[in-house]
Amino acid sequence: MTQTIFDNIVLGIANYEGNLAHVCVQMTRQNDPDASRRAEELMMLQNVLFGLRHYDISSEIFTDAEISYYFELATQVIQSCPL
Amino acid sequence: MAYADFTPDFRVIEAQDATSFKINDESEWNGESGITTICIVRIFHYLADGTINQFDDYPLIVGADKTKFNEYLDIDGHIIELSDLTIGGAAPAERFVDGYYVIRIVYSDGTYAVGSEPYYDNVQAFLAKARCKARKMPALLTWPLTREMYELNRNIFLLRMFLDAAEDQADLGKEVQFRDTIELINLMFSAYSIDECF
Repeated sequence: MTQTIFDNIVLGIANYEGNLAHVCVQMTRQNDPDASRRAEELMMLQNVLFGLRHYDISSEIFTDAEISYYFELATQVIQSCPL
Repeated sequence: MAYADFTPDFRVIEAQDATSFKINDESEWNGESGITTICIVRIFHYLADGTINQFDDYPLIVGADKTKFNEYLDIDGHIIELSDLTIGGAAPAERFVDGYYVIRIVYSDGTYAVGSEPYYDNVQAFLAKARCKARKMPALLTWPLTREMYELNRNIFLLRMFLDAAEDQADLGKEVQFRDTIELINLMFSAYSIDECF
């Protein structure tokens, strides 16, 4: 995987994170009872992004399997949280 | 002659793998960078017991060679490799130890007495190791979120906040707060058995 491909995948996750944050904002404003659960899901996505953001793949701090797991985790959150 | 209107300043960025850091000049030179004949980087690592590990001087100008100095002035900055540094003439560790550092750059046009040259101190948290371990923590998460995962999720988020706070505390010279924060961060790493990255 090249740095560009890695960065583009992370950008896609970040894009979804922004949209999910917006949904959380609206749910919070509306006192939606599910708002706190959505916030927890957003927190998880942000935690995954924290692991991935600005990561230099040439440093080889992560194995390929670890990177794949982070992408899979993000995918699971995204697929389970329709906007 | 001395500098007439020079205000030193610079930025420090540690590499993710803790083997180097970059310095970028942010001085107000007012045309006086050209008269600089001496420019030395001094690195002080402040330890928790109050002692200071001082690295040997790292000159950016070596004789007539201003290559490193020009890189420092350039927008891309100059990278100082740990492998190019010594402490008391001996090679230091392979990576920068996480901690509280003061990076000092001393400037002179050759007219200043030793010890009276203008300089700028940049207080910096080097936390590459801690940040790397923090990057690894989300690997403990699973989906869907269970009660146990809720707590882990929040603790990872909290640890990120503490890391950012530690950076700010060091930037502001708040060493005591910095050490308290780092101690808690390390306790959290231990609680989750997070291995060293490098």
